[in-house]
Amino acid sequence: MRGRTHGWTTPRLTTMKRLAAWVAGIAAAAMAHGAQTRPAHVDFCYSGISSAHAYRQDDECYISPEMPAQWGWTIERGETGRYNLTVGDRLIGIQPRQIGGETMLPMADIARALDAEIHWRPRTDILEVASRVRVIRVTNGHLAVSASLPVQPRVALSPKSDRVIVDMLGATVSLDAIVDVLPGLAVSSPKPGSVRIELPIHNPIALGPELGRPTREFEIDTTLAASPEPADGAAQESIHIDQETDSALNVSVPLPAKLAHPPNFARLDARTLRVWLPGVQVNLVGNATGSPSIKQVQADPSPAGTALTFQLARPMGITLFTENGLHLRFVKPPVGDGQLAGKVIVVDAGHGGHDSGTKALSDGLAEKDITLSVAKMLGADLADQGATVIMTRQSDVFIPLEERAAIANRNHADLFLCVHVNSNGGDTRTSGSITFYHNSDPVSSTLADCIERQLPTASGIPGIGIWSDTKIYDRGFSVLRNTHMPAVLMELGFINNAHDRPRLAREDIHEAMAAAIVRGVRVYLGEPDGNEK
Amino acid sequence: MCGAAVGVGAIAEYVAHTPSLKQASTAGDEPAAGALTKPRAPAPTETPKAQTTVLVFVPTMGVDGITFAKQTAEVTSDDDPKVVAVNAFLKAAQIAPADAAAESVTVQDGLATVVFNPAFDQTYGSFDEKKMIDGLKAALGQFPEIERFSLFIGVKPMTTLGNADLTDPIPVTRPEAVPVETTKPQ
Repeated sequence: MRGRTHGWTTPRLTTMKRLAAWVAGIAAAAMAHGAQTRPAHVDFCYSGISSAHAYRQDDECYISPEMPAQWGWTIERGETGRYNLTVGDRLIGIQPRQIGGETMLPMADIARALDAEIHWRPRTDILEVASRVRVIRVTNGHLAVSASLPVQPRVALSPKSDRVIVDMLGATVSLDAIVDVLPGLAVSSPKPGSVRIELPIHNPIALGPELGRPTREFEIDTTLAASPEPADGAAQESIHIDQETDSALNVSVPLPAKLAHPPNFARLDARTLRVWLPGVQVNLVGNATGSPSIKQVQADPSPAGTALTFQLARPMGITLFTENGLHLRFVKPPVGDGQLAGKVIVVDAGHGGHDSGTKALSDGLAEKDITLSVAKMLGADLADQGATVIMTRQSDVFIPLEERAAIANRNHADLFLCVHVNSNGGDTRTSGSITFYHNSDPVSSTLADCIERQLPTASGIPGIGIWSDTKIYDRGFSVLRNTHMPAVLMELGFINNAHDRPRLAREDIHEAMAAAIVRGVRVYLGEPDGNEK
Repeated sequence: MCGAAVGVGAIAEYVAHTPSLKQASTAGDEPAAGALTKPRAPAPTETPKAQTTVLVFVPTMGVDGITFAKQTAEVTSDDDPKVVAVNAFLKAAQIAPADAAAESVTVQDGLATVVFNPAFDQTYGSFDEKKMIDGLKAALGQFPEIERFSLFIGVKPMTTLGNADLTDPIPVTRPEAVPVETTKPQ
């Protein structure tokens, strides 16, 4: 008859000696196997994957003492050898461990001391660190939030202006955090590692300055009524549609003053663009533009400037300039009917033949073999979904760069997808994927963004982001410069990085990457990616 | 008579074995054999004072961009400083295969033709490629007579080092414009 002790099923034991022998045997077997150590990454709250290194040993994560400084903490080594970490107003002491001769800090101890939540992202060596939201309190219209680690809240009004929406990336919450609830208060996790609070409001309100700096505690006063006069001196402006065609939408926004610095933009997701106007405060009248290409636009003025957030009907490129106001040109990718079926797509496996591309220092694993494997799987996936696929090579042969672009141009391809692997000499620390586009091409950068967002989850290799090829050389990359259609070059990871290399060598990861690239192309063509608000 | 003959013979001997000076353009200005002469400025065709060191810029590339550590390398009297500069960069950067080397650098009208041996025929990922391109730009940019350069393996032009379009000559970077790191990297 089997008994159960602490959730384990054990043989029936008649004496304590047999119990002790069994436990000792288990322990000896564990020690004989030893603890495997391998490089790992830490994805910290809102700030993303840290560049300092870490290790994984079984389920434990050990971080370099350099890493906490990247999160804004201070760290000092005490006389006893313990490390003292100052996290805001808290001071904790952590006993280091020696991992492979290196002094490392156990992340579990740090998380326990700070009440942070940590877990390994499935099928990866990426440890996610999330701030635990401990209190959500609503009192007399004041929303107060308290968390264990700093969060970076983004605050907005719902499209109907009937709710305040607070989003916190890199956070988790449990139901017992909610106190003094208000009817209609909703707390959810729209995607893993994020918390959303929605608070109903009954009168139009004016949001205060955007909460930009990371903080463990913050309050939002929902009693401030909206006023016809702009809050804090923010001008009330309207968006104008200057022109809309099948290929572009030009809009303009009057500005109350000249910008102190050039505007810039960032993609929050495939269909959300945020334009930052430094030094001016603008409120928009209404939140729609009158164009079906833009679902909503919201202005969030603050003392530092104004963030204009555009929710797009589909991914679009953007160029902008300021002259007599702000002028934005949304460039619509030529996606036809938005379907993959019928599109002509050239898939280019980098290098080949006598040109091996880069090689792993450890074992000579060649870039050309990785690119061909991924490219063939990508081509097959695209073809399965109805695209007409042209491969620049299907075997280990050399194709000059000019000919690869010529193949795409001759066949009037709709898209050009080029597969490569990166290298950084003997520097084994650099990790991550980069998807390149040519120069400042807004359409190719849109395609690059859509694809690059899909890769990390599939490959387990962190995403560095999208880059213009002019960051490498001012004339750009040959295949991107010389093709006449939206074109990207994907460097899937670093061949000499201990985290990236094993993944670059695995065929199952090649399949996952290929599927991710196809998903990215579909998002570019207009399908939702599931992560958009 | 015999003494004069010996004297003439001695002078002839001296003239035969004394290295002759390259002549200045003005005729009739030859010094008498054995006579002390004033030092003259070297004629334009004479070899200028040899360069004894070259600058070596060693690249480091990260997601935030590229920086260089500045070093020097010695040039012996037989070496072409431009070739030394390129090869010292290759050795310090440790990107190209160990046996890759520049064989010659010839300059005409500001354009340098850099010829490498077959071992240099290799391509790289974008980070290594940028280190190679920017490193060569800095290595050759220290020579005022070079404004741009092209790469060759023997007689075959190298139009890429991985992805970059190098079909046109590459402009150099002057030493003062090379982003040299000022603090020791982490």
